[in-house]
Amino acid sequence: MTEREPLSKRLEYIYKNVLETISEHIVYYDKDFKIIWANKTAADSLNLTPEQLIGKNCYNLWQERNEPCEECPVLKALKFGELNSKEMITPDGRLWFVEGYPVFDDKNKISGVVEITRDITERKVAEQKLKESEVKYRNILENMMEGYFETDLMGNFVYANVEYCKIMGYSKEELIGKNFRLLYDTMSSEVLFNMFNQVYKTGIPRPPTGVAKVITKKNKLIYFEGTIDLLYDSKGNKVGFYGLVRDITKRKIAEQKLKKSEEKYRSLFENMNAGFALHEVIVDDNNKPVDYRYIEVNPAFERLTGIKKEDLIGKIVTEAIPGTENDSADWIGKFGNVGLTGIPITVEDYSEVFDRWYKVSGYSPKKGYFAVTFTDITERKKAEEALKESEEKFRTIAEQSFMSIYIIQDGIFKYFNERVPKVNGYSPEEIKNWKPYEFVKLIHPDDRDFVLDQARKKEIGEKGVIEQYKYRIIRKDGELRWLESFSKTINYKGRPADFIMSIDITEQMNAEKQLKKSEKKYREAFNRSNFYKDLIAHDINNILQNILSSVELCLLYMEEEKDLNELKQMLKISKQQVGRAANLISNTRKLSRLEEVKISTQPIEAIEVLNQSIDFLLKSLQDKKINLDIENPYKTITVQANELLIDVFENILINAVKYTQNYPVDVKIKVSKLQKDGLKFVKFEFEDSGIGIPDTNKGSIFQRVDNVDRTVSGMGIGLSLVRKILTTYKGKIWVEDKVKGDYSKGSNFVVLIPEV
Amino acid sequence: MSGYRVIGEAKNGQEAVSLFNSFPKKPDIVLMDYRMPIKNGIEATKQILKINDKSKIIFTSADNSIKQEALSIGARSFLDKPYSVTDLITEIKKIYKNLA
Repeated sequence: MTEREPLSKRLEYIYKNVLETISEHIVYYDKDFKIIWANKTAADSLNLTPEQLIGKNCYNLWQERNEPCEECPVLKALKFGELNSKEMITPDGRLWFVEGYPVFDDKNKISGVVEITRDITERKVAEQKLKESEVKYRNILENMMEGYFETDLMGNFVYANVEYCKIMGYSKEELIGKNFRLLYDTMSSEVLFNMFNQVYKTGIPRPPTGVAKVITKKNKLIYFEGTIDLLYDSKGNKVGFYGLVRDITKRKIAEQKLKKSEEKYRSLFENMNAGFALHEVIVDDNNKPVDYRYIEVNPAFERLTGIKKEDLIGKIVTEAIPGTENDSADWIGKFGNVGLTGIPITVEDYSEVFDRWYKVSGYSPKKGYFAVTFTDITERKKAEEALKESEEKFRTIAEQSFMSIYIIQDGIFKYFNERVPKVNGYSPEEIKNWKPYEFVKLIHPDDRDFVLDQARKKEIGEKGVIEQYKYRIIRKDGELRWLESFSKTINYKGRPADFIMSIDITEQMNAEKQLKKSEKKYREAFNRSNFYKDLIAHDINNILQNILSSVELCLLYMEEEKDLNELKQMLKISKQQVGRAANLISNTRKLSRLEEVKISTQPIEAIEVLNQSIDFLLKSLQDKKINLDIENPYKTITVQANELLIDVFENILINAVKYTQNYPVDVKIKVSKLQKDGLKFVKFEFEDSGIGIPDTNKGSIFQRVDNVDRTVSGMGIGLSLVRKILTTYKGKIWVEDKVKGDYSKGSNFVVLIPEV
Repeated sequence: MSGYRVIGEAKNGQEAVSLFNSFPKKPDIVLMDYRMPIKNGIEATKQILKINDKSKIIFTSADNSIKQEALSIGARSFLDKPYSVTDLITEIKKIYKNLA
């Protein structure tokens, strides 16, 4: 081919030598965009001959359109005279790289355009796949849980994935372009450098077994393991390193912890107080456990059984500890079954071989094996037995006790012995069903406040609680019983409660009452006896003294022949003393009668008796000048009394005169009525001008019989008799000062006698 | 009587003390009963001896149980009732002899 040959010639040449054989479509268009030539490849794509394409439009043929495609590079080349290209898709889905080359005529005007079209469908698909693959693997790299890095041969980071950055504590920006030494201290850097160097020299990747420590940016020590391998370019040249890194800090710590834990458990195993043993179960033909072999025991096992480890390991129990097969606890059967069934058990049993009690827990770590942990509970068992015996003993004591024993908490009987229902008459069921504080109905209303007050004080911890006291209860049948209770606050099931022991003291109380009565009676009898002895020894002797002295003086006067008047005076004294003695005897008889028999009373006309007494006084004491002043508005007054009433009035009146030193003797008698404690009384007052009675003696003058104070005397038994008589009348007597606060001015004897 | 003169009489212990106190020249001998109204012989003896510890007191009572106490507080002798005038004069003489 020469330079200046006609186009046809040149085309022909191309057609013949090149164009027909190449894989691209080549189509030549005239300036009207009609095909004037096409190669065979282009025609083949339409299953036509090149000649059949002549004069057609490309868009009709390939794009099945009636007008040119938008942005058609061929048309653009034709229009603008410049090379134009574009990727285009045909309706069959294939992708084409279309290029338009403008063709110029001799005058350099556009005469046509050549279209060269390459089918890039496969390449594009491959590129797309590669791209997708790259994205996929990049995504994997970015998102995988292992750190991934790439460096150049100098160790400068060219890539690091998210996890790597996370592990090392640096951002990508901080890492990329920096040397790996940034991450490590000097020593670690050297170690890693040697690793890289070795891989570089040998070409052998470092397996993922290495573990290294690194200080991260955050100054945190981490452990990691990883691989290092060489990166090659497409020509097989070494261009860098890549590697995978895994943070194994947690695993390392866990391993360390596990190691420590193992050490701890090993230590526990070796040092624990509980015995441990692992056994292999030996069965007979019927798969029944008949023996077991020791696999492992801990030191506590040796300590608790007294058998050395070397005498156990590998041995069967029937040889190592003979007699075990006959032990009633059936250790072989029980724990053999644990090994066979895998069902754990815990037992407390007595070992006849060791003569000890053990608490044994067994489980099966593997079928056919069982492990046990056990403790020696002999002492505890003994204590429990002792406690049980003690509890039984005390329960028996409590139940058989004659005392009522009960525990009250929140107002409810939490416990009561058999005696309680017997004493209060309610059935055990009724007591159990009592509502809170219903038991209060048992307590006698008069004692309720006291008993509940003690309970309240105890509850709030107030001082002055009486722990032992007597009170009455009312039985279900209404019978009143006396109880003596001892109560104490105890801890019952974790909370305070009242522990009460009561004893029925009704009989004792009745006996005491009787005894008191008897004692009183005896005391009175004793006092009376003393009184009568004193009466004879003292009062009669006094009278005898007076008579003796008078008689002796009479005799003396007679010897001296003295005046008869003096003699007469002495004899008169003797006569008076005899009268005094007679009166004393009479009073004594009356008093004695009052004490020995119950004297009946009857309505008596009191004014009449009073007048008789006044007459007697005036007649018997004629030698004394007596001024009587009687203030009595009543003509008659009837009182509940008897014939002894006259002795009351006489004794008081005689005393009034007897104990007055100044003459004339002034005696005022006043009669009135009054009501006292709902009863009607007649009040008799006897006011004298005598020597008076000091306050200290105002009570004792009426009590010569009962009161043994006889140091102050001289009043005989008159007033004692008066009091006794009035007591039988249910009357009263007392003495007041005539002038209040000055006893020496005289006395006022007040007598009350019930009016009929 | 028998050469002795009674210079005063009292009806009770309190009066006896007052009377004793009232004498410018104290009596040689006091005859003291035990049971008396207001104040008994023991109390009266104690008070009289307090006024004059040289007082010679003959204690007398029908209650013999008081004898020891009476002598222990300073009574010179004790006469059980009933006693005769001769017994009394003998006691007075004994004491008077000592006085002389």
